[in-house]
Amino acid sequence: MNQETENILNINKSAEFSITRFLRILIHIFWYFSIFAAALFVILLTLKESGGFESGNVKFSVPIIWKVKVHEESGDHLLRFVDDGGKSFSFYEIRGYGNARVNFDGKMDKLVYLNYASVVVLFGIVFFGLFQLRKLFDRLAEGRYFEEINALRIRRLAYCFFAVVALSFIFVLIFNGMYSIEKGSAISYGGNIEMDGIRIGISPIFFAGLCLLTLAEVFREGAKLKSEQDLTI
Amino acid sequence: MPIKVNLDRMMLERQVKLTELADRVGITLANLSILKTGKAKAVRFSTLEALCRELRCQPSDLLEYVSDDEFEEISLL
Repeated sequence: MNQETENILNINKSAEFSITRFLRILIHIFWYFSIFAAALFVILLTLKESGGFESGNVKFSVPIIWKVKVHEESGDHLLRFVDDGGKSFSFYEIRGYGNARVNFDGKMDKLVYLNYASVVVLFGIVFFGLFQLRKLFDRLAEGRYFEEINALRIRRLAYCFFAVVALSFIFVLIFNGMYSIEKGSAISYGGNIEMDGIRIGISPIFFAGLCLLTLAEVFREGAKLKSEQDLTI
Repeated sequence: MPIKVNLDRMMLERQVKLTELADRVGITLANLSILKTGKAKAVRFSTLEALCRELRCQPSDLLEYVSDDEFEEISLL
């Protein structure tokens, strides 16, 4: 690279505003917010094993938001559905689709641990992906676009997406079996998985993962071209 | 790549130092070093022209084709 082009690049680097820099700041904010949220989750979880803790009229708990679909009545059951105010729903009231905050009444048993474990695993994957994204944008903001490591990070991001889809599907299968709500129920983390009959569509997350894989290939080819360009004297 | 760069031999013959040549040819020392050690993947005609002008030689004095086996032996040395 001769002096002239280096000068031009430096001028571009010192530009006051660029989309990449803006996105980088956004991702940094999101990253620290996620750490805060995770810390809050852990604190709430450890403060009280089961439903949460009470302070005056307000009840704190660790709600896990799921889409719940219940078709048929069932008798005694582990699940109790609680709204924001702490009021219970019976099964009959939330018939059909809807977002429900699932809270666990009474003792904390193995099932509940598995629930939290699933959330922690999914959270971990999201964290890993966010970390990759943060590092990627750090590099992009420096003006280093086509490098092998960038392609690798995008590919890792794609694998995160695939892992989220696969694990969600597995958790859905497990919890569906364990909750043993009557036939026709479904608990879904997103995507198009439905256990009522069987309907599995292409989840948008999976599709996004495929797009990212393609992008990673483009970046890898770009890195190859750049190295060739740099080694042309 | 079985193209050998004989830049060092030519520089020895003409008694030119690397920094001096870089100055005269107008490319950076790092790039000339890449060329000299044989890490370069391609050479621009303009660079080749400047090198030949400053070293008063032909392109064939700078570049040489060797067979793959021979090249491996050279790079092992």
